Amino acid sequence: MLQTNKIIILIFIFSLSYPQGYMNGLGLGYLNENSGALNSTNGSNKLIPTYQARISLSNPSTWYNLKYTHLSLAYSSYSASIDGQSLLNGYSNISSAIWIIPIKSKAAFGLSIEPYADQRLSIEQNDTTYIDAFDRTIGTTKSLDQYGGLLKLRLGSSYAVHERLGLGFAIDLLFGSSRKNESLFFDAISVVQTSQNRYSGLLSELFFNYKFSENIFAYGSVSKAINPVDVLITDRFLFDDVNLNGYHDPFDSPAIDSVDASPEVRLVDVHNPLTYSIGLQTTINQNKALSIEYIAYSDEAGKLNLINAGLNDYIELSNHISLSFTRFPKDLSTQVFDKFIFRAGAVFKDHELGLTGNNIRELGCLMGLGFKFKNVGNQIDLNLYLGNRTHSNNYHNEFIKQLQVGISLADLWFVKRRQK
Amino acid sequence: MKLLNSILYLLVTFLFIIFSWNCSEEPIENDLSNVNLKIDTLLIEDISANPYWIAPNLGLTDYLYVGRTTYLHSDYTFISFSNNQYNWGAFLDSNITSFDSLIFIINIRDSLTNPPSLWYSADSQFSESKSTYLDFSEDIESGMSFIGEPDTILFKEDITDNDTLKHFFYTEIRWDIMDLFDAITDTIDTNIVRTFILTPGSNDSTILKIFSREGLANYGPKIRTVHRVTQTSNDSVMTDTIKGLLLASSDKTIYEPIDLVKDPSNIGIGSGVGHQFIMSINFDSLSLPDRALIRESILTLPLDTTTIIDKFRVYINPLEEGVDTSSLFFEEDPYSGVGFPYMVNNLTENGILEIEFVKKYLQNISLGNETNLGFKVFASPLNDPFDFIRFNLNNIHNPPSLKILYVTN
Repeated sequence: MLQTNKIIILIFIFSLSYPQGYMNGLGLGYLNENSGALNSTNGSNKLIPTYQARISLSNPSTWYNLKYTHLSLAYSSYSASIDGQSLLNGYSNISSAIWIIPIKSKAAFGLSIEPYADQRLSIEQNDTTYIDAFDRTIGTTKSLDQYGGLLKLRLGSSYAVHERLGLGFAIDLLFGSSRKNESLFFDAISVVQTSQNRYSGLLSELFFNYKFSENIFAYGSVSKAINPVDVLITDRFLFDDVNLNGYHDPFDSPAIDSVDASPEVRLVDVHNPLTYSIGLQTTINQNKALSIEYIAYSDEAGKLNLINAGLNDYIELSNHISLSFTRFPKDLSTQVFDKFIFRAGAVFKDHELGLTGNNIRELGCLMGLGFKFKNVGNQIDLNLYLGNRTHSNNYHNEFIKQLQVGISLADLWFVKRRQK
Repeated sequence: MKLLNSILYLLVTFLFIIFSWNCSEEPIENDLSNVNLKIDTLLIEDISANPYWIAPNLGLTDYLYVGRTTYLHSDYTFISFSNNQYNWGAFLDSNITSFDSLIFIINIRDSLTNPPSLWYSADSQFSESKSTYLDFSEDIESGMSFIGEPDTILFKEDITDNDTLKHFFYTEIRWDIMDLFDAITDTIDTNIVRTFILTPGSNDSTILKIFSREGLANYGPKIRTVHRVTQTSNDSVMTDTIKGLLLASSDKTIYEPIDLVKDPSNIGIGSGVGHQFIMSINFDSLSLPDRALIRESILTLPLDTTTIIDKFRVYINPLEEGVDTSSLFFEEDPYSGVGFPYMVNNLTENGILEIEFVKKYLQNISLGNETNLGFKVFASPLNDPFDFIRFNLNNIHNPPSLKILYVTN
């Protein structure tokens, strides 16, 4: 009973704080790959299988190990509390939808869509600036609201080159838009500058998995841009937001039809990510595995400060390292407990900002649970990630929580059924 | 059993977190020096004016006036009663057998010291919106029937709380016009207009302020009738004596300016004397930085100290089109303004006119959507037509100015 109370108190403390994070305001926003957990089936890894033995839904080189066509959906909630600011904040969204068709255990083809970057952000200036205008003094405050982000549509395939080596290839189409409202508040009305950014880009990623022995596996990938991300920036005309709703409507001044947006500006090659990932997994008995994974990310473009992001900086370099333990289900067991998947891991991420050179470091741990049911391998997964993020500049420390729920349905597709 | 308990705890943990998770968005606090929105100001003192005069034309006002000052005569106030069914037409009913009395009534805003004279004309035409003193010759009275001074003068008090006037004194003046019965009920003359004319009494320097038909309800010019109505039902014949009211259908005071000095340096406005001016402000599409948003624009015009009137209402209307002329006098106003919502008005106070200026119009000039052709400045018809003000645009200590507060990015 005492143990139960402790758990409930601990959960209650964690559940009270929900503010957003500073990283949503850096460059393209909060990159999904910087999340503690990519989706509910991955645990703390990107490449190393934690979904099922030798299968990772985010590593196409392992897809041919699936026996049935899979459709997997994951939903994610994210929040981050900030030291010294008592705020209630958080948001949630679909974190991935993926459809994989294995072909005779030799190859596979898949299609997925997931967030690439999240730009939702709301910032208020913490002090009032005073200026003298004619015969009076005017106090002004600034605020910034940002919405939207980028999505990644992935077209992937894999092929078993031979028993020990599998290769995978993916093309990632990046697209999306964001809207930003910069406000200057004085005399009870905000002057708002709205701008819209539209993004497009194309990335490619090459994957491999290699079986050194019966219990040691290596995984790796290289990701490079085919077409670095371009952005089309449209600045709208300033307006007095008389009704303070953030939109330029007929109640505001000047009239909507009397002003034009400024000419669109296209910035090319603003985001050119280059990512190397490598991971090792070893099974310590029949269904338990230990893994280590390292990811090195760099933005070769170095221009993301030009898109005037909310915090006017961007992540130029990132290094991720994760350690994880996974207990896979026993396929042949009839025990209910043996149908559960258990994941645990620890993550360390180090980001370096391109403009100021400041660092962001994140240390987190993850706990996940999955339940496999029916012979085809349907699965329900839950992940909870808790992390602490520190900033080397004057940003406050953040405490991050991420909760993910996913369901994967498997079935035989594209097989001619015999008519009864 | 222990394992099952552990799983149960984990499930409870997840469920609790799921149910306690909220989606909300509150701003975090941070420095926003990268947001470049900033306030700036622009002071324009290059403001000039060109006066002009028009034949005064004040129709549809709350008051009619009778009397004279040294510079303005209002010798004729016309009041007519139309022939439609709500006026004379109603009395052509065959059930009305006779009229016992016809009383013409007007109400004067204050006490009466010098009663006006009343005239009648069956064919004196006027237009509420167009007629000016230029339309009437000096011998206007030659075609009219003189009725004379009032038969009855009653000093009264209104203690009702009207929206515009509360607890005020007034004078009701009556003329018995029964002698005009045949003339005003003439149905043969189809052009009959039944116009009454008020002219100043013996002491024409006293200005009478008379409620017009557009002014306070029930106080406009009217004719009160007492007539008999006969109704036949079966074998009986019933005759009732009934009081009726005929309300004026149009009214207008004709103002004639006297000995006006039409001097280009006389920058002023007055509705009775038809004095107006065109104001030019040195502001165009290049005056502000590109894509600046005007938040506030205040125009300040100092008054000439010899003509300071507080609460004098001034209208400023951006010109719709320019007029190429050097004339100072016009029979009709040649300048047309764009009107609402760009037209603004305000009251003078403490010797200046300070007005929240046409911000939207200036913004459109700044955007290049409109061209600054100037602004017509004129007195509101709500002012006393005998009042006028002059502006001192050469005031060194307090020059005319347009103060613009704007935001740029």
